Amino acid sequence: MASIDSAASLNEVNALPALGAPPTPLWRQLLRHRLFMTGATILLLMILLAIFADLIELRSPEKMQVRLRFKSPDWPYPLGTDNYGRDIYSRLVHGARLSLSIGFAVALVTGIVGTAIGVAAGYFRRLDGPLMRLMDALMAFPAILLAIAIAAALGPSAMNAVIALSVVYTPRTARIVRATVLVVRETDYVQAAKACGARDRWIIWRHVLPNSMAPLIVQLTFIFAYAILAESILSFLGVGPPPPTPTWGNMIAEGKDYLREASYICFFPGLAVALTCLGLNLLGDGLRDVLDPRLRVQIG
Amino acid sequence: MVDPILELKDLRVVFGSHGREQIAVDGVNLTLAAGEVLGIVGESGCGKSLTALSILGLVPKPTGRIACGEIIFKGTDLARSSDTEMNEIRGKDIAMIFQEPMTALNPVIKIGEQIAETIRVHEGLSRQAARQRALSLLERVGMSNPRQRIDQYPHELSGGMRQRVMIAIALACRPKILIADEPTTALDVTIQAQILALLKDLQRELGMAMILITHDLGVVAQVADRVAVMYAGRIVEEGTAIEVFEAPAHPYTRLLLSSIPALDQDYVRLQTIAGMVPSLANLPSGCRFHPRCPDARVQCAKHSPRYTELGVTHRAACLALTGYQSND
Amino acid sequence: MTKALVSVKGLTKHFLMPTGGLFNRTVTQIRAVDGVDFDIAPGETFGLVGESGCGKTTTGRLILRMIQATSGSVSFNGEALLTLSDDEMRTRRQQMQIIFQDPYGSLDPRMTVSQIVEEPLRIHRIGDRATRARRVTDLLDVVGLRKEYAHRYPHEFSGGQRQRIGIARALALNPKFIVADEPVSALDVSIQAQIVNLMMDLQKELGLTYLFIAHDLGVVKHMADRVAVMYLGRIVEIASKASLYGSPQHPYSQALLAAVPIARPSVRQKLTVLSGEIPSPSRPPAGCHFHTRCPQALPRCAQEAPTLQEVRPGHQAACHLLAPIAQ
Repeated sequence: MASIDSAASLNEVNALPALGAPPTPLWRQLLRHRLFMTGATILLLMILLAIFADLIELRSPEKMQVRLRFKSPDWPYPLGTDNYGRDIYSRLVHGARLSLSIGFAVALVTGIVGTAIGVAAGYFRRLDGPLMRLMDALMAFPAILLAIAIAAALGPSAMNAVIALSVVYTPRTARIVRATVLVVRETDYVQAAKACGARDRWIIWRHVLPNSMAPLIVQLTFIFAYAILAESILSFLGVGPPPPTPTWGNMIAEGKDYLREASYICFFPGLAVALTCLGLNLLGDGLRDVLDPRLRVQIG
Repeated sequence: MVDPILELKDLRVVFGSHGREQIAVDGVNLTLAAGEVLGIVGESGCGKSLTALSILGLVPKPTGRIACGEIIFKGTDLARSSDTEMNEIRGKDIAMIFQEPMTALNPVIKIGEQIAETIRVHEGLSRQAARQRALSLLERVGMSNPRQRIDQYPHELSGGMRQRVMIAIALACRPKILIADEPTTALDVTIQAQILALLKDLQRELGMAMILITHDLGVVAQVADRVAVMYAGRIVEEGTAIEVFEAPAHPYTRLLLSSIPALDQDYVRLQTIAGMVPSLANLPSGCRFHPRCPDARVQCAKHSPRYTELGVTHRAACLALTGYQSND
Repeated sequence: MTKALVSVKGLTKHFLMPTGGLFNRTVTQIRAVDGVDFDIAPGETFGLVGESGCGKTTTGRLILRMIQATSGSVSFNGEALLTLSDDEMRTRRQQMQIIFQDPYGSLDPRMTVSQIVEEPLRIHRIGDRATRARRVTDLLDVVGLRKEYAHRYPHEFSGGQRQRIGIARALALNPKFIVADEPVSALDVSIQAQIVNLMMDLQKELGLTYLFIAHDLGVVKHMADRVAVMYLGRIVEIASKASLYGSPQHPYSQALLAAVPIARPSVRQKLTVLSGEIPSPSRPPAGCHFHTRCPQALPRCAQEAPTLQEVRPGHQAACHLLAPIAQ
């Protein structure tokens, strides 16, 4: 008896056309996005330079040849030599390693710590006030000044630069994650999980985190870019990773006294920083374009 | 009929870029006589709202555009008018009210000011004069405490009151045509009743023509003189309200009417329409309704039905009405 | 009368909202649910209707303890729910589930259909992967979805199909009681009918009890056995559907029913029976909440709130105009 009735119900549905093909997956949409691909290519190029620095250097980045100081860009020194006669090209590709690593490390740490704080503040009402006031306090300082202060206090090294920059940029990621968590927390699907008796841990891990990632990821690409730029500023001021290990920042620092006679010492590492940041920005913009519309609710 | 005040001829609205276009409104023909209420009913995605938006040139660009057809109002083709020309008409000759008054009203401007703005733009009245008119409009639309409310902001008003403000703005310049797009869908039942009574009243008093777009068949039955039923971008049946509701000719109309549980009847099981509305990207061939139609036959998939005249004012597009002979 | 499955007594929820400007911060009390009593018998569909601000959605959530009640009691199968600990409540939750109104917000967009439907089982650690997969297939079948859809994402489905997924999820734990919070309000008319039929079929097959919250009086009349009408946090009338729709006693119920537009143009209604706005729940009128709009209000109505009393056999109403049947 009952099965006849639900068969009638089923007949109503069997007339439904089959679902169309699944929509274009995310990665394919990204591959089609021109800006994203441009940015990704630039970044990939820089990463390859960094990885294969040992293979593509022309000579040791630290070898000083005082007689060959200030050579203009010409073969066999394609980007010239600096004030110590070191090959700028080889220093540049080695510098990529440290600069990119620092940028990546800052993005990673900021991402993890920022997410933890953002989720805690957004999900647990009682933690929201204290945590966000702490973040506000940190954000009240101008970013670069705070970074310089921390790095100077800790001492010049790559690790300390990472710590300093992470402290400075974490509030930004925490805010973004918190904003998304506040929205996700009120959705019906989270309420549904609560109605089933899901514990907070479950809800945060399975619902809140996956749905809060998209804006965070976009923001992290920008933080990567800020970090590279900031590292170069820190090194410029002498509180970043110390010489003789090359970073793009300290190359610019060392070249600043010779801007008139040998501007190429600053120019090439500066160009590298600018290009990398551009690539990261394009990447982030592309990601945002592709991710955002998917989050938009369909209009019936 | 007497010269219609508005005529839509073969209107086609498409979305998307060349090569991947979807036709949202496909060859709609409608006429509106002065002073009459035309109801356009249909479910979501049938194109009724888009039809209304295209009359006022409000189809969202650049994704959408009017691909072909004419919209004749006072001798001009609105589909081909420039934005400046349309601005003259919007709010003055043809006005529109929307479903969500909260998003249609500016949250940072007092409501009196919003009503007065339309008057000042179109009729060039002074601030004082416009404010007086706004006050009398608020009284006319049944707003409680109009002297107090005229200086309030939208968020201080309830949904029903905001809808009254929207009606006041729309009627400020005594338009010839009012387009109401789901005006009461977001309102509670008792408030909906008030707003519908108000609209009917004003429409009669001002001698305005009204196009009422809704998915609620009860609302249409109580307010409209003529009804057009839309499905998947086309009008499948058209006639006076009595003709369409009491002698529905198209299977979709019949099924739609019988799937609503009425208050004075008991049902064992609700009548449903099998399947679901087709997506614009995957429209069925021939008659768009045929995959869901209990009366469909082989011919229905092959031929798109033309209109069969069932009376002076009543017509429907269904092959069953012509003995399944294609009337191409 | 058979023992009630769900019994609600004096259920109250007051929200405290901070209001006022920068310099005169006060707290407004919103009496969303203001002392509500009713019983739901096993296997029945209890309809709860009312307009905005009446508290019907809040009542549903209070019963499921999704919101903390301010006072009152809810008992399920004879057991008091509001005093249980979180852990004890967790086990009881398997028996009571909810279906939401918004098909677009009620499914996690990042999970596949099968993940969504099996989540309740995973939360309660029921079965292993294979058993759960089988259960998901069964559930999809019961709600009329093809099992191939299990690996698709919610955004690929229409509103009606998503509601079916939501229903499948609600059934995963084999509950006895389901709160259906406006389950068809956001759907097209023809799809509404499909879902209503589905819910009634499931009720017959699985012996479910529904609390059906809605504002569409026609749908409620079809689905419900008994119906309660709420206004501004209070129940004004409870009766069997025949009794309520046939002879509504409370002036508000009468006005509500008269305001529904009939899909018959030859019957032109006088639609406006009730004037005035619905008062805000933060400032309800004194005495009977409805007296400011009631065409038949007495002076007494502004002073004394009426209580719900039996005015006809099996038919309760809260109105000073009505005389309770003699005991």
